[in-house]
Amino acid sequence: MQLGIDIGGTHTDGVLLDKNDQLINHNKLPTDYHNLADTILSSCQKLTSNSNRNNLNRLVLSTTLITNLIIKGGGHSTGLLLIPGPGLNPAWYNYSPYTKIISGSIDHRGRKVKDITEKEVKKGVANFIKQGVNNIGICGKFSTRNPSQELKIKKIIENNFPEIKNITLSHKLSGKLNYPRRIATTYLNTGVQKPHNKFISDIQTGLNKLNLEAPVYILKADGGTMPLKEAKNLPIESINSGPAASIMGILALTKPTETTLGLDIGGTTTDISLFVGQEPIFKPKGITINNYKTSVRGLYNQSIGVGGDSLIQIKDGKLKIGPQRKGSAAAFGGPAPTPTDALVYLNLTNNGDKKKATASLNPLAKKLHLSTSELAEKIITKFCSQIQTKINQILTKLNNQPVYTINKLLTDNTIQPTRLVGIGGPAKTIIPKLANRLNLKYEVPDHSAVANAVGAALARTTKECTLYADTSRSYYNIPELGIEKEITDEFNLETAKKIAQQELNSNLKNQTAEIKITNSETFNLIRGFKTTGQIIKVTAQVKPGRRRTNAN
Amino acid sequence: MQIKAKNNLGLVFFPAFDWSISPTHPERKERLLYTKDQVLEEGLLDIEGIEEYNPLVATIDDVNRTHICIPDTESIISKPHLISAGGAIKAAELVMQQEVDKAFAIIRPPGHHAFRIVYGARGFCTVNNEAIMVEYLRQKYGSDLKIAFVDTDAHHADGTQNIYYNDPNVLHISIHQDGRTLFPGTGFTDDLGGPGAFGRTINLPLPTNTTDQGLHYALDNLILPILDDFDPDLIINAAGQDNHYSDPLTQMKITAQGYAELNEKLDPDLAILQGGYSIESALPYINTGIMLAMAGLDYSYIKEPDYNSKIVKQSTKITDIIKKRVDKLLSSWKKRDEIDIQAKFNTQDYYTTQHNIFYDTAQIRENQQIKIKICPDCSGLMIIDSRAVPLSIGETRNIILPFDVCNECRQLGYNKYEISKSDFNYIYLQDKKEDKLLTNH
Ligand SMILES: [Zn+2]
Ligand SMILES: [Zn+2]
Repeated sequence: MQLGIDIGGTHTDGVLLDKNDQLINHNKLPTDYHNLADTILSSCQKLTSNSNRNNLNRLVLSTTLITNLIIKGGGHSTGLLLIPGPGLNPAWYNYSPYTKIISGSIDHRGRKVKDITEKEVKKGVANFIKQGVNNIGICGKFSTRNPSQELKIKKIIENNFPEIKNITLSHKLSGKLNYPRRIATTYLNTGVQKPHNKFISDIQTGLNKLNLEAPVYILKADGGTMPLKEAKNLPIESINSGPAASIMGILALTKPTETTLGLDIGGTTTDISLFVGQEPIFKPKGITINNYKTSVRGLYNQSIGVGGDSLIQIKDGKLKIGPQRKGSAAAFGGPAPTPTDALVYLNLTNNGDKKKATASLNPLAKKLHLSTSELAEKIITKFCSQIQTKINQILTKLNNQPVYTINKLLTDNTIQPTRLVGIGGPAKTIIPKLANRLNLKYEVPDHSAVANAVGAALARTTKECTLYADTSRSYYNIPELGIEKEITDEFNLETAKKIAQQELNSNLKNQTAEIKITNSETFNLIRGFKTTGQIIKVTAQVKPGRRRTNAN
Repeated sequence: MQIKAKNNLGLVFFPAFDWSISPTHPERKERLLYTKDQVLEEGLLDIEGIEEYNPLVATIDDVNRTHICIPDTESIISKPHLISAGGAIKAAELVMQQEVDKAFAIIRPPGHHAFRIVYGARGFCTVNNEAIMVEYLRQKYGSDLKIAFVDTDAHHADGTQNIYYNDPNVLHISIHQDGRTLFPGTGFTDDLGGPGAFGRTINLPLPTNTTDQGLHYALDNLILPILDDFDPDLIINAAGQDNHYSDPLTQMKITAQGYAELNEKLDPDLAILQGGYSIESALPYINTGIMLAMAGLDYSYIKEPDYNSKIVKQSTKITDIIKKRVDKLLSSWKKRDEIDIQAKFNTQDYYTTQHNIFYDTAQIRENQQIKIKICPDCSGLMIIDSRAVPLSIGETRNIILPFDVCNECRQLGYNKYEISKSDFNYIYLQDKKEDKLLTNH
């Protein structure tokens, strides 16, 4: 059995699934922001009984804790030690008011160009401490190619400033090239570490009290899970887990097999996701949160400000839906007309007070010289067309992503969805109409109300690593796993792929993982008309997906 | 990092990682690898106002509008060339459609050594990307567009010069390492353009070991004043990067800062990558510098790992040579419209000349006999009889009708085309105005 708990903006949904992934029990509780751990624990308590707690294999949490901390500007003051070397103006890296530029530099092939000086580091850290800052992030340009300067600074701090307990190194957070994103990610990760660790220990204490011993996982932005222990160092990975849970819910409930558009029609927004084959696709660069562009890998998801509770008004003689929400639909006691009221009026949904819906729509109908039913139809059509426009924009953008090889430029990899699946309140009525407009097959799964929690419960552990090898410099490294090894000239792409897979596999321990090589490139190094070595880049990944039964 | 570009900049970045002339050629797969790594690591593509685009694929018609490929276009060029040219076209379209303020096409292979007539590759170039781009623009947006090229590659832009030598609406300025010390061995101050566009070709050969000082002296005292006079609709920087002090093929001493500052002052609408073979020590820094400069952002922190401030100092001897050449060119520019063309070219009807062209990459030697009609009503009908060894196709005749062709030259051209059919197995007529290429086979 497994538990999935999704902590949403207003409610927390919990599900209990049996060993065949069938829903046994579910509940919905109000979210208590000031005490998320309590909300989670009471959801656990209500879903399970003393007798079945021992049969529980795992518990997966999708939490908004870190997202909210970041959006509210919470978390702790973080000092940044940056080693930018030459390049962009370092004043642009203005993430933290406590920033010290350390002179040192690594080049694009991971060669040390300039050493760091211990004195500078000590001075910077002492200054942070004087200002009451004792969380530190260390970020070097090209540290993913050579992390030695970040590691050296960490050692200097540990040897001289035992009071600093919380240090994040940028190369451990992402193996990708993008220095500003790595700084942002390091900065955010360092700042939220302490509240996150408190949350984790609260949960652990609470679960112990419930005698719940199953391993606990946190859902990440990429739709995979990470064990609680690993989550301690990587709180930033749990941002955006709400949309990720919804996408994994769609995946779990509908098992897409072809190119599929996923829609989660909520109260204020509609979230659009995409599946190619059986896999959700990723954001090309990383997640943006509260204007911070990060390197956190996330599932592709675009929001549009129209949902079941969006405010409907007339502006300049035209119907306008959203992006504001004034409250729930009039049919449910809300203050203003919404798309849901149009559905209620047209008898397309069983719930809600039709009289209230009618009363809210009538004044608008009059203004537009329409009958109420004409207006209701018009609202639904407009609702669909706004989503359709957004979908078309998304596809155009995705289909024009930059490529760097002639082969890719000339190969037609156009993403063209053939199927539409939807969850969320109005999905049952909206999805068929939208599918008709887009000329797609469609599906609206059962249990769509608790899709997010089901998605969390069934998600498997994901992990990515990048291997960069340079045979003329006789080394390879995998920054995320902290691995650097010497190699000989015989090292080649096949070896690199094998090593990346093996290392990722041993890092995942008890998961029988499907590791895929998602990117591989080699370049011959030509110097003076001779090949002097090879640069090899490999990315290995456990992609998000449904966990296999009986595995973690 | 919440930085916004002052100028919206479009990047057509296409390193063609799966293509090279031959496995160990300097123009190789790896050439833009380190530039890509640097650009990604710096996070340049996250700067608001800097946007990346895929190249278009140019068509055979786009090539035929600019070149005469012998025996035919299909047998000489391949997809990589069409994509590189398409990258330049995409960059230009972004600017013309006002989607961006400026665009930089970082494409390979380069183009500036490709002449109008093409038998194969020379100087790593087969077709002239920037000329294909300009001819596309003139066809689409009007042939009265005034275009200025400033070619800053270390090698003389002999191909682009050749294509625009007699074109009055195109100013072609090339600054390069002195042809006496470097391929292709041309580009001296006396080449000033044909009878139809006299003065609109400008060559400034720079002595070996010229530094940023010399480059910027020429920019401030020659190039910028001439551009002010000419007042072009579009300025194109043919941005070669082989002037860099670490380039293995040349003997110049320009730094990444020197290149960036050049682009800030020149303020080009378009930059198109040319050569540059110091792929690790120079290209990542120069390209980053050019991008920042074009976007109107601070580039002062860009420095090569081995940068030393002494490198910009240049001997007074070099400074003096450059000053002398700049003065000479400036005075001939000022007098360009006072020249008596018939007297200058020593003829009343046809200006005739000849040209030997060596294709170093394809190992072909070509001889051209060129005739340009001196015409009061247009820039003049051009007839090029060309023979290439060791090719076995014999002498070819190439008739070119310019964009501004007058009726008389047009008639004459078509008549020549018909009557030459009995004498030539291969005869071509490129009609710029009608946008077509005729051939007898
Ligand atoms: Zn060159
Ligand atoms: Zn004429």
